[in-house]
Amino acid sequence: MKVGVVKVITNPKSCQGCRACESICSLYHFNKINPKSTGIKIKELDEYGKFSQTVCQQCADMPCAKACPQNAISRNSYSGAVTIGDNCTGCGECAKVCPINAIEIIQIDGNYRAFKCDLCGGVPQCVSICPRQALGW
Amino acid sequence: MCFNMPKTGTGVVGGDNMTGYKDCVLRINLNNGTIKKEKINAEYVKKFLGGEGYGIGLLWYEMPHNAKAFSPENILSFNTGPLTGTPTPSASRTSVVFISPLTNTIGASNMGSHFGAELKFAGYDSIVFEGASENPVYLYINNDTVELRNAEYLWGKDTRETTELLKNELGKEFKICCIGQAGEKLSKLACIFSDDCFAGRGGAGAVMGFKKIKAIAVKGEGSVEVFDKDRFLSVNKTAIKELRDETYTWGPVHGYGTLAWLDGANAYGILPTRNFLENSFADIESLLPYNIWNDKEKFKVNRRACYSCQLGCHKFVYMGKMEIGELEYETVSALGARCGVDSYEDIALAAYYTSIYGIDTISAGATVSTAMEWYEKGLIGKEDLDGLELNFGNGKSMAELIRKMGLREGAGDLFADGSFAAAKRIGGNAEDFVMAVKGMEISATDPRGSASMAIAFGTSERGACHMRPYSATIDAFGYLFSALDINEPKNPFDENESKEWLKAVKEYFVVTNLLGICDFNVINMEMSPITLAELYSAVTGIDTDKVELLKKAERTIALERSINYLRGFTRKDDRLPQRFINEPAPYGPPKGRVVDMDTALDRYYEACGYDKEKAIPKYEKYIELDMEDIAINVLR
Repeated sequence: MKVGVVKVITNPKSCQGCRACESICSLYHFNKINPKSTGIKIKELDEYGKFSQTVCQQCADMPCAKACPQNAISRNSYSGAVTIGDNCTGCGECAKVCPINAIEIIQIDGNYRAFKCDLCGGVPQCVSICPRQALGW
Repeated sequence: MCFNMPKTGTGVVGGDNMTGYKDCVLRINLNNGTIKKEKINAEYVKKFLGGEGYGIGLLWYEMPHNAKAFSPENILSFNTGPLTGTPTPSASRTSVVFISPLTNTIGASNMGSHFGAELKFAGYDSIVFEGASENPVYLYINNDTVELRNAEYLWGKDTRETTELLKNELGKEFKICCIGQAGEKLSKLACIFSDDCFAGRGGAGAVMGFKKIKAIAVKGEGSVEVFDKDRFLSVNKTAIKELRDETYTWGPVHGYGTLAWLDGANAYGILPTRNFLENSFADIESLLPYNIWNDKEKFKVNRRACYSCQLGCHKFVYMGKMEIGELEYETVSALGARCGVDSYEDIALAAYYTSIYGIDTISAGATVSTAMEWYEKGLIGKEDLDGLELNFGNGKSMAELIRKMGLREGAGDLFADGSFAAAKRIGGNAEDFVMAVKGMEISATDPRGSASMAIAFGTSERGACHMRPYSATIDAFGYLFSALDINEPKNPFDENESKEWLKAVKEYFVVTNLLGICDFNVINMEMSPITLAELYSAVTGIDTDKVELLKKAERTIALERSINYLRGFTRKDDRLPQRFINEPAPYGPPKGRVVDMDTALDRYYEACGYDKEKAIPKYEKYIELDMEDIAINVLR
């Protein structure tokens, strides 16, 4: 895994677990808030008040793109994000190879597809809503 | 008698594309174990918006007005608001509404954590419990699947054990709210626990215990829809900016949580000390988070915020390896200054007991402090306290008594129902030392330092409560707020000043309970009511302005007062204890001050359009609020 240059940077030490990032991500991409359909995932660890943050690191070597049988994953030349195109069938091959489990297979109007952080096309919403600077880019 | 309205929902609220609300209410009949899913009642939403308002609507229209708190007739509801589950700051709240066993008035208590948002994701606005179960049960909600399950094996377990057991059994992603031993044993101070957030005041936990509901476990994978995404994203930015621009909120409170208030409250002379004998604590330094938390050998503090919260006041404190839980302003002042205790270890230990057994820290601390005064005045002795020496300042005894109260063990039984119930059992002049209104212990502000807080405590519909509203911000700390026409500083020592502004501030606070967001969005007048109205409009598509939003709160308050009135509460119950009326405050700016309660009440009732004796709206006011049906039933 070679982490990309432009990406959402995580700082779990500062994370307070409010999940505002999850909430705004889902709303921004799908017009509604769904705890499953989000490009960033916050989970509480065994210690109370300690959290893990999972978000795509926009890998330079893009293992997800290599694994995609549809060639649906490519780097967006404007935002620099690794993005999943509309021809995704939701087969889940990309999610299997992702080294940090940052890809979710979600259901939209009955169809399955892969979803992950696309840097909101330029300005990540999660970074601006995070109240503790636990996310940066 | 109850005032019937169509019981099931009458349909969609906001046009065909209903957003914000899930348009589904779970109605659980515990007598026969039936579970019904019904549409939200559009009438309640139209009049009272949601959240606490929805629960109050249920109490008025669907419950006999004289129902006893501990009876199957009492309706216990968990109500999210239309903003709960959205990325609005602290859109996490669930209002628990019931008849309070502590006060016999309406009970409305709300909690944060991630429970409310999860309930919305599962597809429900409210859960309504009717009747009472014979055997312990817990409610299992996994999206569409809703079951009442046997909870025999959980009965007798504390709150953390219950949460752990359920999470291990059902999955970590489940969000749990539950009661501890105090709720099971019907302690009138019992609260509901959800990840160290509490629906604390008024004995909600005891109502759950009476109905034999040990816990609710919910998992939701559905969605909360927003009517106009672009408008919402834009207004939400404004809301966040307003919050972050308030330097006190976004400074010390964001950093240390509500404990940051200790310093200011103490300096100003409104920190209750030794059962309100004093209004400032000499050993305050030993309670300040700046001094304590930096002792990293002893304490570790992790942040653990509620859903979508910007402020993040919630902290999880470890003392050594002991998982204490949350320590916040009300807890530390009730168990600390109020009992004259300066040992942080003892306070933390007592807070731990309140957390795992599930009792309200404010009332528990206040009850112990009252017991301390009884002990010093000779009304009770060691023989009543299982040998504990309960002088002011004795932290070890304080923590031990709290433990006994949580478990209703030995001497704890005498105090487990609060200071008012204990005074009745002790007899003599014990009641003179009870610092409570309507039976609920006053929270951590000395009303002699803020005339508006004297009114807020006195007239609060659920008993002496610090959030209806926390108006010391305006008159004691000098905040101005043009959105509510508060353009000049208010005099904290003048009961005779018009209290129009207090009415507006109270409605502004209650609005947050209706919307499903936290009071800390408004406690320092951060988020403008215009922004709140915009957020509501963007989420639901129901265009609402500031005036309409505040009116819904005013209506909810009026309905709460109407229920209380029919339960026998009038002006006489809106009075503070005699200590504040007869004994001058000894320190700080309020030095020498007593409260002129009659003038204060007159000015407030005038501002609200209330009858000065009945303490409910006059007929004209009911009509103005579009509540004629209620007026007819109340005033006949």
